[in-house]
Amino acid sequence: MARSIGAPAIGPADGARPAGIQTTLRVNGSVRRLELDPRATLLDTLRERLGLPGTKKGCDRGECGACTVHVNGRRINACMTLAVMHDGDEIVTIEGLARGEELHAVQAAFIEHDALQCGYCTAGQIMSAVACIGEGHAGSADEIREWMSGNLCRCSCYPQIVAAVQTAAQERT
Amino acid sequence: MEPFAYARATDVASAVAVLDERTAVVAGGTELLNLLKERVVTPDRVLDINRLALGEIAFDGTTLRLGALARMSDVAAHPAVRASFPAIAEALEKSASPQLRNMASMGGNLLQRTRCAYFRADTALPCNKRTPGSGCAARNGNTRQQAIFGWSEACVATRRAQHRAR
Repeated sequence: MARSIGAPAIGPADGARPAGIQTTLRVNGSVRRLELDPRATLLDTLRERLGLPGTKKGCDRGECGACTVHVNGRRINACMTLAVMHDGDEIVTIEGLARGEELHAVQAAFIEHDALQCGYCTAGQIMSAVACIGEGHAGSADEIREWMSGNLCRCSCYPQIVAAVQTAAQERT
Repeated sequence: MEPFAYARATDVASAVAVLDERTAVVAGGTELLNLLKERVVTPDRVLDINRLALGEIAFDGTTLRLGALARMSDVAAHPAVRASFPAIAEALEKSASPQLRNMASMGGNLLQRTRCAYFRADTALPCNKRTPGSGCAARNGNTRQQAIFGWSEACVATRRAQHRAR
C-alpha cells in the first residue's frame, strides 16, 4: 500500500527535493512558522512537525473524519489538504479546545455519555460535534446523525455520541 | 506523493497563463490529494487557486451564478439557493460529508476524475485512463460500480477521460 501510518510522510524523498515553503500557521492561538515540503498534509504537519498528535490519521483519504480540525472556524478533514495552502489560517485542534483544566462542554458530554470505546475517532468526533452545534445542525437526534455522518466510529458508539452531542447542544442554548 | 513545486495564484490571468500539462490546480483538494497520494497524478507543479476571487454565489431573480471556488456547503446554505433552487441545496447536502462540503469547490466537482476503483487503486492496475494502452482491469473485474450506459471495451467506468496532469 502506498500509504502507511508509520511512514515518514513529510521527510524528503529520494532524488529531487522541492524547496521548502515558508508557511505561518496559527494553531490553537500560537503562531507557528515552518518550512514545509509542499507534499505535507495539514494532518501530518500537525502531528509530526507541531507535536500535536491529538488529531488522528484514520483512513487518510477523507472518508472517516478522524482528522477533523477547524480552519478559520470551519470543520475540515486535515488529511485532504496541504499545509502550505493554509498560510495565515487559524487552526484549532482537539488540543486547543479545553481552557486549561476545564474541558469544553462537548468533551465533558462525551465522558458523561461514555461516547467512546477505543477512542481513536473521538478527537475527530468532538471537533466535528463542536462545529455541528455551532452551525445549528444539532436540533434533533436525526439532525445530529445526518450532520455527524462524516465521522465514522468502528466501535459503533453512535447512540452515545448522538446523546453527547444533544446534551452539549442543549447546554449551549 | 511524488515531489512537486507549489505556487499560489494571485490573479486569474496569471494563473491561466501558467497552466500546462504538468501543472495540477488545487482548490478544495478533496479530489487531488487522493490522486497525488496514490500517484494517479504526478504533476511537476501544483497551483493553489484558493485565494482567487472566484467564490461568488449570486442570484439576480432569474439567473444563479456559482463561482468555481464556491464551496458546496456555502452554496447549499445560501438563502437564495435554498429558496429558489431547493433541489440543488438538497443534492449538495446529500453529497460527501459536512467536512468535505466545507472544502470541495463547485468547479472541482465538475472536474472530478472517474470514481472507478481500478483507476484509483493504490497499486496500479491496468487502466487506460491512468496509463493509456494498459487495458481495463474493470472490464472483467468487479463491475458493481461501473457504468450501465456509455461504456466501451477500453473503459467501463462512467466518465470520459479528462484533461491534464498525469
